[in-house]
Amino acid sequence: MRLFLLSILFITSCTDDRALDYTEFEITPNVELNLVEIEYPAFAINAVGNSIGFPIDIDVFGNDLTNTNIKSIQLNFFVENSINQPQDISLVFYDTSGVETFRIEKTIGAPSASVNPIIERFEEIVDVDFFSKTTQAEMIISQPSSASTGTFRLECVLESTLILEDE
Amino acid sequence: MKHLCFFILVFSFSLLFSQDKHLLYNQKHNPQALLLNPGLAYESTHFHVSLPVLSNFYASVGNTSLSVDDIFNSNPINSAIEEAISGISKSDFVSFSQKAELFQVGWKFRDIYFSTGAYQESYGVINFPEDILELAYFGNAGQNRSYDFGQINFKANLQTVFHFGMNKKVNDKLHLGARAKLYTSSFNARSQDNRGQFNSLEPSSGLLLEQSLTNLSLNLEIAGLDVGNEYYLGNISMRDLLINDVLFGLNMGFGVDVGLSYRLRDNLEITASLLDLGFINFSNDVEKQTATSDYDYDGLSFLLSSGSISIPRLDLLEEFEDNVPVSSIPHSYLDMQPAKVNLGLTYEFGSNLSNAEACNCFKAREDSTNQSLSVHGFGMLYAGNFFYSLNAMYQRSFWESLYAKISLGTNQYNTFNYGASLALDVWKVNVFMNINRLNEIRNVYFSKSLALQFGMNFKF
Repeated sequence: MRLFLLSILFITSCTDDRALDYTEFEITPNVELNLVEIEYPAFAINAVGNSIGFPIDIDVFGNDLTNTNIKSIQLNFFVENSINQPQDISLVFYDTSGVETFRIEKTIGAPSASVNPIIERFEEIVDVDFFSKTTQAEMIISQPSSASTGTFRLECVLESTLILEDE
Repeated sequence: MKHLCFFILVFSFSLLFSQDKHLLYNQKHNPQALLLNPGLAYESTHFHVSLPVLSNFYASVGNTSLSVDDIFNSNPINSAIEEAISGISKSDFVSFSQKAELFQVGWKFRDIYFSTGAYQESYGVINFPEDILELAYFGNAGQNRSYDFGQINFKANLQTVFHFGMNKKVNDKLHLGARAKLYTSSFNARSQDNRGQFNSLEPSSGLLLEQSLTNLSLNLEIAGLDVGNEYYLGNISMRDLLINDVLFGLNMGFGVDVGLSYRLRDNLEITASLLDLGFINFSNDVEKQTATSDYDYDGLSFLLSSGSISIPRLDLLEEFEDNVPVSSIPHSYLDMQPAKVNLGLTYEFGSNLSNAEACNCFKAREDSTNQSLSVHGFGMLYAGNFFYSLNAMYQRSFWESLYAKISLGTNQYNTFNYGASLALDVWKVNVFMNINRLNEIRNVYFSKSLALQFGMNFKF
């Protein structure tokens, strides 16, 4: 046993005095994930009362790990509208009890004779605390009943910075 | 055991941090060297025994790309790690090995020296999956690239080896030896032959990324110790683990070592050994987990066409679970031991001053040399990684009591290293010490591997 300890001392003594401090170590990867794509013709919404909802379950995010390990969340949108009427978009988030946690609203204008289709890109930063309570979401799109031609396309990509640090 | 004039009791406190054993190889006065070459030209004794637990403990850790200084230096740690990850390639790996000799006994019967014993060992190697590390550290945002899952490759094994060997002096030139081994493994895990890619590419139009898993096939095979189900570590002692499961595993296999030493001339000797030519058949407590997929992911899709107004509720987690199925089934498999090859060439010269009785201690003996130059090569293929070392050594003995050896060589860690060995055989005590990587011993924080070995023998 003495020889064992001697060898340990021998090894540990052949070092300099630097501090092996890893308390500031953290990993912060930036990730992008396709979240949803929606495409429909004008008459599809007319057939159901000029408003339609697209429900999605995102309970994979609704937990304490989200609050702990997600530093920021941003939703990036791309919309392309050739429907002859503006489109009202509401992205509503709910918790497990069905209570709304937050929502994003946007109106996409109708195309004109010179600009068709309308193409827009926009971003929305989401509060991480609200997102960690969210298990469901619904994309609700409304349009006037006079909408008759064209199609609407929406793409959404989730961009997030994760944080993994020594505790 | 006709002659019991010499009774050698070997206390070997050996602590070795390296897979390099060139300094121990062909040490003809040390019975531990029989495990490296069963055909060693062993300076025969009548009997030896090593004490359980107290003999020959060995531990090794090393990697091909990083040292402590690469991580902990004057730069902020996050910058240092980022630079280290950028410098890693998929051919780099981390390896570890550990060995504890449980007991060893040797005896001479007629012209054959027998030895038997048991040792517990563990070893493993993990390749750095370069792409996966970059994905985990940097993420995929803005990267516009693919990530290769085929870089995931690791293997680990925990086993106890029971062995029985024979060493025979065939004639004045030739020694032959062989050793049979019974392996009992208590834990084995391997993930090899993985393939597939995760693609995250910028789109040619729109916003959605071209995200997909192509030709994905991941597998993990595990056998043996099921600590999670059988034991709760807080409620059991290490003693229970060692005796019940670690020392005597449920999965068994067989192997053999062979070796020889041959004198090409009076002062020129060639040695060679093949170790651990064997396998273990894993059929108890086995499980194989696989994940396969070929999947283009555009997000949760609501694509309505004319007449289609039925809107399903889509679940993000279910979307992935349905398209990336993971299965788990019992699965037996054969795992080969990491076979090792040693090759050595020794040239002996000089003359020994005799310290025998009734001698002129200043007169050179004609029947004994006191110096040698040797070359030793070692190779091992394990989990697709090639381990090697190549060393040149010079040894000198003084009065057949003091043995000094120096070495210069290189290995898979791609650095030159100097080693030294010192053995003292005085009165009833034999002490030896082997130190590798002397060039980095001043500050081990710059080293990628470490090596120290020492032992104590008692002769009666």
